Amino acid sequence: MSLSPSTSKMLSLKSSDGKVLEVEEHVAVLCETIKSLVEDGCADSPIPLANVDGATLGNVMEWCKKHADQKASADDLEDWDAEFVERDQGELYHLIMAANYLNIKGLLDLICQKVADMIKGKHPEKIREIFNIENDFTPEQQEQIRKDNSWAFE
Amino acid sequence: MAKKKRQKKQSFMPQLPPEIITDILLRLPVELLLRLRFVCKAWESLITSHHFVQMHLNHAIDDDKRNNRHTVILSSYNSVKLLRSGASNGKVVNVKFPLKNPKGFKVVGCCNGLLCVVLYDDAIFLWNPSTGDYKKLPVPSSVESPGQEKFGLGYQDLLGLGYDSSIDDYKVVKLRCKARAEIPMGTTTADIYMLKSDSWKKTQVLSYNVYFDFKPEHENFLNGALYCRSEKNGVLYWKVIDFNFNDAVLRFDIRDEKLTMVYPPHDVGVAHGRIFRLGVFGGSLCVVQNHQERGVEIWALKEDGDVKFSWSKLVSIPRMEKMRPNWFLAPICFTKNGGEVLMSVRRKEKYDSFSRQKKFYLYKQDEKATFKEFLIHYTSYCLWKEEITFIESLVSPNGVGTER
Repeated sequence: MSLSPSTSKMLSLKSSDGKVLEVEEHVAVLCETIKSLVEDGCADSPIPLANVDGATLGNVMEWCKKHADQKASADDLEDWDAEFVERDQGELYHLIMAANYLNIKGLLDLICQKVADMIKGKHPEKIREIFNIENDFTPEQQEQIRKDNSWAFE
Repeated sequence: MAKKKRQKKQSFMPQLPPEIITDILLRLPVELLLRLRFVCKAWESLITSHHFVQMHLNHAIDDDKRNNRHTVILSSYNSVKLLRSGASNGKVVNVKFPLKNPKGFKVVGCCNGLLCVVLYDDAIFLWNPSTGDYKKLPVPSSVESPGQEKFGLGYQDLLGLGYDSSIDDYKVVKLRCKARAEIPMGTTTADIYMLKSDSWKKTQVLSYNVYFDFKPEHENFLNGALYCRSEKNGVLYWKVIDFNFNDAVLRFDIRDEKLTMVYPPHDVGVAHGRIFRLGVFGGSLCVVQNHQERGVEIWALKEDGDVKFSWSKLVSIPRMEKMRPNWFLAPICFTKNGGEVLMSVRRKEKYDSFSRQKKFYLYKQDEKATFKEFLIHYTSYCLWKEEITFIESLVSPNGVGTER
């Protein structure tokens, strides 16, 4: 089976909220999850993607389309990616989950890096808020870690 | 509780799977990760796990290869200063050696975020300046052996630190360098310290009659030990002089524990006042040659196993227009995707000594070939002996291969 752009056929993908998206096969197979379905001949349309909503799926496919474009230069892609990740936290969250579910390493790397850059320079309390984490240390335990690593907090 | 949840409605990551949390955290700098251990117990155990430390290190090594995102260490007599990745603002963090009042130390090796330092009483330490962890090594047995002549250039120890990926262990190598032409080529004993077993062993290596090279202008580590990692293995290099007074590079394969010697490119002879130092540029061992007329050239060593070696010119840096004849340029590393070279500049004074103060310059490798002074900001007046490129890591000299 050829996956080259010239012979690429259309696949239809169905999101969790029932929206159907028509995508060229050579674009959609950037998602490893879809690629293995196609290779196993299980890609009868529409492919149901129970964990991705329509809006996020649209965004993911936009990224895949850009990255499937053989003409795009590395510099061009880098600029485009930088713009692509300028989103609010909610959208980034959905993208990261979708990239993980669809197994798109490039997109996952991109968003993880974006989130990492976002939390640089933030106080642990703020980071707990962002990640919705409860502080499960007692004040004594916290003090103990601080003592053990006093050099790190000068 | 319900109310609290609603208040956190804007929270970004309701339930991120642990593997994604890991993927995000391993992109963060060491200094931040140390603080993030406070976030919760799960993060504390993640960040201190051997698995995470290794993944974080591998990510840092890749990032360094792709983006030249290393830290430059300025080592002075009892502390090191870290000029952090990208070093765009020239801000320097001072890190004191954790022992109280060391009389002074020298850095003799660095690998994966660990420094190997030798104190003036010959005690050897492994130290991670980013986390503060350190460990004193036991005394190798050869130190005790009496009857060895230690006069003049009788012998000198070469030390270095490397990582053996085949056994996931760090090795400190100690080689006695003979420097006596009448000693026939043969084999000699190298002392090798293995971190996991915390002990020294002996191994036989080919012996070379070399002088250890201590000219101040080289301003490499006193022993010149540099560690490079290729796809398969790690190699240590020392700059030496052979018994005909030719510049040479001794290389020690960390995994196979084999010693070989390589000569620098035969481009210009000693007669031209050539000076060379070793450095790591673009992940390869390089020699830096400094020509009065031609400026500075950086040559990279290509290795095919441990038998075939070749050199290729990586960068030529012309002489700066305003540069005085007595200014000495020492390239340190690439910055910004290899587009710029960071270097130190010192004045050469009489009797071949050098000014103690240095300036930094960035050289831009484009058609214009511009030099720009790079200002380093530090709070107190300081001098340092040498610059070392370094990757910061969480690797602990006290917990290799184990959970803390």
